[in-house]
Amino acid sequence: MDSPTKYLSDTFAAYKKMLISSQIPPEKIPETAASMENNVAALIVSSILFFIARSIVGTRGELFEVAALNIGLVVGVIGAIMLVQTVGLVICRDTAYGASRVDQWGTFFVFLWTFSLVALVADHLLMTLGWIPGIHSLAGRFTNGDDAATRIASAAIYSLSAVALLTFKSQRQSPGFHPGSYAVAAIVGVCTNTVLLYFFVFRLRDV
Amino acid sequence: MTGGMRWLLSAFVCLLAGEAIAASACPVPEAVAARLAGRPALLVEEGGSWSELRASRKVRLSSGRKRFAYLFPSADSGAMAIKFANMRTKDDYRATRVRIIRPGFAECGIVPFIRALLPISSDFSGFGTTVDVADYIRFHMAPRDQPPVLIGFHRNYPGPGRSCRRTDDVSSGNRQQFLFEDRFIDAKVVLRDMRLVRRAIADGKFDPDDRVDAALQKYTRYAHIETQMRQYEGGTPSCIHFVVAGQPGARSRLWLNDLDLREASGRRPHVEPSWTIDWLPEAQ
Repeated sequence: MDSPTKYLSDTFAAYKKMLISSQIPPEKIPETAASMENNVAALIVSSILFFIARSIVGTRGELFEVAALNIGLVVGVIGAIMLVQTVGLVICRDTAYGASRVDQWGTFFVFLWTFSLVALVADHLLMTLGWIPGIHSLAGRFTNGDDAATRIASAAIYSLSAVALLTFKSQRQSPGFHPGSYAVAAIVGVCTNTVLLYFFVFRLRDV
Repeated sequence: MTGGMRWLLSAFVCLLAGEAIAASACPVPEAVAARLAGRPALLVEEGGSWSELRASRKVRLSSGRKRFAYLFPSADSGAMAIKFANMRTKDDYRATRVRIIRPGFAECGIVPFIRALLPISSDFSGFGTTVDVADYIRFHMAPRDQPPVLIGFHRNYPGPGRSCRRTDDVSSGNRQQFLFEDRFIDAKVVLRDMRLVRRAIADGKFDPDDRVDAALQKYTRYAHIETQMRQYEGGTPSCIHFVVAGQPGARSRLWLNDLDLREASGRRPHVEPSWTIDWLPEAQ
């Protein structure tokens, strides 16, 4: 039986592979890199970020205090991402390369989810240190503190920043890449990720 | 007219005119104001006439909604936090919510113009809304951004020297002025809230080592907590007016905190002016 440290190093190696290979055009993602194993590893890492994000965002923020709820939500998020992949597979009817395409698109959504969480955590920490006003505070000023509107706006900005990062990364890795041709994928990614962040990080935090 | 048309029209009007100027005319007659000779004074309206409330003397007022006016010298415009609380007696429950009331503000910056395009109410006037006491304390004790309703309560305002700042600005020290106890910021509150486990405390008890818990314990002396905010323009005197509801037989405390008042040394005054009011029981 492998030691826990080996599992940990394998997980982080797979996560790193996912980070390196992520791009907006899924056909550019190597099939070996876009395996389900790598995506699951990334989701494990993002689950840790998810705990921290919910702890920061919450008004009372006790990390792991509501562990059962948090774990349930992690399962929910992973399920939602898989659902999107499944629906995508059915709609695309890409039977010849279906499995690999789904994994490649999965890598796209997992990258968005992970980096929107990174953006959220970084934003809140920098805001707490007083270095920046904070996206959530800025959004709240424009929405007059309306709960739903502020949270949706913040979630959308974090998702947009993840898509912007992925676009920048794609341009660096694939010189012929034109973001316009993947606008629909970017919009679907931002919308899906915004909904996930809103419900699982912001909305359910006050329960 | 459909709702959409009405919203479009109101957004257009707001864009043209900006938000309504909040500093409406002072209700205190000029003759009464002149008698004060420029010194700061809190006045209350009773039976159509205005009388001064001395901070050092015991004040007894008939219960019900009372209109107050605070006249004070100020060369510049600014904002005032009005904090009002009913002290708890042994028959009262402790306050669990803070009522926040703010009429329209004349804001500076670009924010109000963008907000006018959104179909969202921008007013906390009248009876305002309420927030959890712990949330209120956490927000004003540290640079937090939750709950959103408190972000909406605070506003940009034109301050001294053509400055434009937020009423919850942390760097200028505005944010903690809305606390009823121990007015100082502690960013560690946010990080302490993230600790792995929370020490088990019996229901209704407080952890003395936790600053928020310690503050919450102090707030148990209040049966009702209310925060209002008003804007003023520079003048001799400057004037704000507000309404509070006196509960029959209750003892209340009122604090007025001018966010832009500074001593000659440039420091914020350590003590904020406060009044204790005993509300008369209802006539039998």
